Amino acid sequence: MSDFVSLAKCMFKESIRNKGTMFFTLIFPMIFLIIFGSVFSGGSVGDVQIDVGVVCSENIRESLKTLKGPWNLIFYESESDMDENRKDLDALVWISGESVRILKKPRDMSNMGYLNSFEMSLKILLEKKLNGVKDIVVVRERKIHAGGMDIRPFDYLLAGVIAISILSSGMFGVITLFSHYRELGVLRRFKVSPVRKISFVLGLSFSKFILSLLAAFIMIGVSIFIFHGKYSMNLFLFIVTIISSTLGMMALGIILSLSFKSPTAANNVASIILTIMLFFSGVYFPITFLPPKLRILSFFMPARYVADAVRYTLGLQSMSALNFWLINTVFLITGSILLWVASEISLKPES
Amino acid sequence: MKKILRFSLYLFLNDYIRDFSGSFWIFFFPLILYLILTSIFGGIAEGENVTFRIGVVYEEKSTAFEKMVSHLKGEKVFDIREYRKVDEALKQLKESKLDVVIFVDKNFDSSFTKAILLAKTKMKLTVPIDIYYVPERTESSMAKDVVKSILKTMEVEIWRSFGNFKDVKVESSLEEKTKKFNMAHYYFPAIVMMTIMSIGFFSIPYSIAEKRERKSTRRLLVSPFGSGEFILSVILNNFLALLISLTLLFSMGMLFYRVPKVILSSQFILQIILGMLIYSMIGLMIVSLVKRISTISIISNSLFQAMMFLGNFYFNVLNMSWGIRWFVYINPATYILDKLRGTMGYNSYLSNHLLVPFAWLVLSILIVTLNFKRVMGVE
Repeated sequence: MSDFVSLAKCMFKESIRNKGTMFFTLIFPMIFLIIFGSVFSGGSVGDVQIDVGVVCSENIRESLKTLKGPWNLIFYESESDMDENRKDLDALVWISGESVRILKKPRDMSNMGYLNSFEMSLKILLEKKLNGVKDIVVVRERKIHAGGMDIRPFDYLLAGVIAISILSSGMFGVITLFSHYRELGVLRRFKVSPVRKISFVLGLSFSKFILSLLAAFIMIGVSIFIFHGKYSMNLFLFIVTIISSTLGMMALGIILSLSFKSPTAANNVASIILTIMLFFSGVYFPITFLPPKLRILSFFMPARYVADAVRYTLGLQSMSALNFWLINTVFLITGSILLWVASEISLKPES
Repeated sequence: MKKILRFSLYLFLNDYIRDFSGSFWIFFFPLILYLILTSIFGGIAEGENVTFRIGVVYEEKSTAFEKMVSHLKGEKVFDIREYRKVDEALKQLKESKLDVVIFVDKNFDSSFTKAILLAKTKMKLTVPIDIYYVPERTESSMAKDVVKSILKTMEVEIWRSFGNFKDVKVESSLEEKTKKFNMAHYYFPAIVMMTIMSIGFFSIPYSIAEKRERKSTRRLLVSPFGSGEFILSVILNNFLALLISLTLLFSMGMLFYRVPKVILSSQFILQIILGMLIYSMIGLMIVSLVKRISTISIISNSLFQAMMFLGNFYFNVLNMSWGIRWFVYINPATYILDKLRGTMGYNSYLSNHLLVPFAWLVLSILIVTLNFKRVMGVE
């Protein structure tokens, strides 16, 4: 027990004294949080504004003003007036009786989607007006909040960012530490010391858990104070999720460190894994938007499950208790087995 | 000159050929990222990849609504699942297994028939349909908007079936320059910029800082090979790396994604050279201000991520709050990328593309000149 305590203390001190480790564990995820928080905190439509220039008759103008969406309609008296301002417009629309001409100027992916949606809404509106179509179906929008709280898309995204940061700090932290220990010959010294393998693994894991928890709480604090995030955290389940996911990713980090002799190679492979996870885990882009074949890949991404579990523990998503414990148990068991294997390999006496 | 070229080649072999990580980040990672981005976003703009999972709850069998959604069932974009109980469907919606739930009332058929019959009279009857969605999930909000649009289109179709319906003809076109909006083309300049920034923020400062820590730069100062020649060799070596990297990227773009030949135009190439020059100087500026590699790594990583994500690379950041938008406007990458995209035919967001990049160039040259001794590790 005492060797575990000493090792955990020593490894934790080593981590907090290492500028690089501290930066990549605590500050780097924060940079992502602030960037993504600032970009997405306006909501999915929020600040988006599509400037559409329109030339049409007076009576149509009033109807067009009822169009709901992120479009900012700018009415012009003549085509030449609109032409003079075309540089600042996302689309130019000419309406004359039953014919409509639309010139789209997509500036990015979201603009293109909004412009297509605008075209569809405009056609429906004009046909309804022209034919005196009365409403038959009235659509009533019913908002449901998966976690029971009224939250914004940003809060939901943030939970995913926290999950990614837990995963990256677990994986990269261990790779950096292992490479560092190997370079300094610390692992070799452990081999000839009476330190038990289990104490080494537990000490390493414990120091990482503390750092991961610290990082997660700082991120949540920042999101609450800067971005006014709303959470209803279940502290116990949150800690369980952090421990199990950190353990799982640490194991992956150790496997990479042991598989590649060069620390840079291990870092590169870890970076590829993280990049793939960023895009295919549903944190930044919904999984249903991925090509069908790539959607299968998302099932193998630990980040997908950790993000779901973190959202659940923060009260942002619904999940069955069975599912939650299944995710955590899989991470805990896989992580423990891989860590045990890793300790056997790394602390095996040299022949 | 011969000495510089020979030393550049030596540095190139050392930094990029012998060191796998150097070649990986500059030569291969841009290709991998481009492949990932095009796989994900390639079909989104045209709506090819998207699948909306729609749950329809029939409180009672509804022939009318079933007929309305029957033609959607064959569409790849919709995955329609039927439910008898609303709670069951809402549970699936909350657990992210559905994107939207449509609730069809038990009296839907009779109300719908009455509403259609009364539609042609002066009386009015409407049939409510509830759409449940989770606003915090982007895909759910989008699915709700799509379903709403479809229902409104169906309403118009019903009126069309009455006869004497005046159609509105919509003639839609894309601006001449961007006939077909292609995500693979749109992201191409972003990957080019990312490669330039990787060299500026990582390759150049790390290469010099490593030699500085090993005291090689000091040894160079007492050799006939001067410090200016050393810096020039470092920059030349990285220009060579960029040339190889961009050759691979251009080949991939043109062969697999049919990126237009305009990327080979002098205007496009000149912007790349300008970008490389600016980021080489920024890299030198970092190494002139910071001593230790670990600190360089921290500063480079922070600036790289901030300039990339706040440079309009992957999403529009020009409509953010001014608290952070100022960074977008002082970021040289925003302007260079905007100009590169403009050259490819996409609309530019900004007007003056030279002021900010040149300001960075002048500032970094000034700082490097003032701190030149620190670049070489002599203080």
